[in-house]
Amino acid sequence: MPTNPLQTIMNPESIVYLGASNSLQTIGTAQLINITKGGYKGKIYPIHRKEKSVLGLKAYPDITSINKPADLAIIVIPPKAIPGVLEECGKAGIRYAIIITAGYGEIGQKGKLLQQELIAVAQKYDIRFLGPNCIGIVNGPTRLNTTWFPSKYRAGHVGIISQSGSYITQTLTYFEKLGLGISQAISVGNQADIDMVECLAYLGKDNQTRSIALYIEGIKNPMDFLKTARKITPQKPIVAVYVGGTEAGARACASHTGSMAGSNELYSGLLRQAGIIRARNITDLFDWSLALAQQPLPKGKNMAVLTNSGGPGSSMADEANRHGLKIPLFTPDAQGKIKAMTPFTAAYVNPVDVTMNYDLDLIYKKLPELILNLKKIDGMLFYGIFGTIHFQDKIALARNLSDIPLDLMEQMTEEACKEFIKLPDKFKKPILCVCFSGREDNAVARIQDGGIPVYPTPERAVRAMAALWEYKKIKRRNNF
Amino acid sequence: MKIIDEAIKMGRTALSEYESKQLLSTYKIPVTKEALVGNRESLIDAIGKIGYPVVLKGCSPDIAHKTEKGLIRVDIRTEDEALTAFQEIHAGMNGTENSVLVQELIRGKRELVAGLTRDPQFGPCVMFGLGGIFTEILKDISFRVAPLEKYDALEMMQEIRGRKILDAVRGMETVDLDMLADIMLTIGKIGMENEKIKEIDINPLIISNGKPVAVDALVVLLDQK
Repeated sequence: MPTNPLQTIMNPESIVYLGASNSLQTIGTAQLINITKGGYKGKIYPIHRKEKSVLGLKAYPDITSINKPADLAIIVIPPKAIPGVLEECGKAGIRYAIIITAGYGEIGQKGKLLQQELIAVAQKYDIRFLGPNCIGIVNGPTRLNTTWFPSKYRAGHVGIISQSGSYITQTLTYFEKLGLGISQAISVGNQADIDMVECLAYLGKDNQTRSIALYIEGIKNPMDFLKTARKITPQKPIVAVYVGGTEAGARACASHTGSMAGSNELYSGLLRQAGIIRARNITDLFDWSLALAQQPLPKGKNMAVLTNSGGPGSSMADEANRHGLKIPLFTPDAQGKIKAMTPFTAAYVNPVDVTMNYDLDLIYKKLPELILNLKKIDGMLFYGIFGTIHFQDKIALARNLSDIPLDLMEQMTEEACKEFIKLPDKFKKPILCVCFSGREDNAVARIQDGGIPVYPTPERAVRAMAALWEYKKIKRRNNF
Repeated sequence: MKIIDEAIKMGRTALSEYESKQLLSTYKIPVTKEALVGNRESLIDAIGKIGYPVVLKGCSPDIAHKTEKGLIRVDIRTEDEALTAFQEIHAGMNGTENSVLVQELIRGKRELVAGLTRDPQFGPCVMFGLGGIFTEILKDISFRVAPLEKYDALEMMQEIRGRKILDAVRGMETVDLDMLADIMLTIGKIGMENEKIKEIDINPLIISNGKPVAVDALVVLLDQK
């Protein structure tokens, strides 16, 4: 079996870069800066006809004059020059390329012919390439980011394959806020050569990748897709968004990536058949991929809700029932124990609402442990993260009332979070949290970094939990 | 398949209801007991074998939607009724030979749809959903790409919004899901084995005493032009 081309494209030891200069006005330069400053450890050979150096790196007038082998060419130059450059790559023994440039199959007949020309040259020299009309790749662990957006992103366990470049580059700041870490992200563009199926096969085997997020405008080879995905989904979850199922969606996809869209129902069927969880939108796609990458799967659909505020607790309970999850009453015995531990204002049957309360040990440890220990409960939805930042605000506003020992509180919060993040592993049950504050709240950041997703609204946490349950059912379906 | 090849040779783009069901029947999909008749004698003879009550329909590959043309009479219980209905339908068919289909009346309140569509990209895809008039109104359907596994078929049934129709509701029996799943697997197989079939539409697939029966069926062929 031939080696998957992504193996080298995602992990090149050396890169020939075409399309960067010393001017930030070209896209190519901006993308090369990401590679040089992002932490990539390999060699980079920029090609420039006039400049002696590009971004402080020795530049070469053409590929032949590098005179050293290179793994990958990244190409961000005008279309008419690309076939010639690919020829040069071929002759120099470069077997892999990422073609970022647009203006091919997606613009109509003229572009389709240009794309055919690329394919012909590539085949002549056995070159495998990603694109054209893509933004490239992000490799989380090796810090190789060929995209445009800044390199501030975290390495993690979500793999992404996208027919839109934006969803792997402009989303990097969004992922950061969500605490989502990338294993490998691939923008496939027009899929003139390497297609989504090869990317899937690669991520299916990639050890860093624990869940795969797919953004689909059109699948070129549905049968290959089905076959490959079906092999992956019993071991590794795949979540997908498909946007070509409406009249307007199909039109947008055709002009964006030249994709032929298909009926919404057919795609729904194909995705289910492949064991892929279909997300309705981009929000769910990344929320669910994150939960699937980081949390154990529930064994059943019975969830506990633990909250320190009634509203978010009720929202979670309500949304849970809408998405096929149950919020069962605790046994009288468990209810008694919870009642004895909590204030008289508390609710204790499920949801458990401890009401506004600063007893960190109770909320982060004693109650979660009691709840997760219950046989009947398969997972926990949690609202009640409250970092010390909020006290800092108060102190700043009323300096004469600074009788709160902030240092001690920070220490206590850290202790509480440290215990809390161990719980999913200890009980082999998932926890998903909600907090309206983001990572500016130190407790939110701590819990996210500890591996438990914290979502900005109750409904998003619940839907992610439902996705975990959905995947559990997919894993079990061979015993239908 | 012979039925398909002959239809194509004649330049047709569809099989008649009778031919469609013969094809399904070859693949062991349960269909109504029926016969194609052209005169009063063969009608009475056929009813003798099928037994009252019967349904009479105009049958031709050109008439896809019989109810809209009024060429259908249901719940016929006597010879008089049968002869009157035959005359009316026969006249409506402009005297075409062997153009009246007489079939057993299948009783069942639950109407489903099962079928096949050949997508240019996906190839043959199997469809399942609520049948009768609800197919068009509710579009409560699900698809799978052929070939199907048994669990695909079972999941399709769980996917439609009206899935409770398959349960033991309002004193009716639970639907034989195994049998239903086998029908869907078979439809996929027909699509895989007969590349000239463009669509299959079994509607209604009526649940009678818990078992599905194809009561009406249409096979559309790929236009050879």
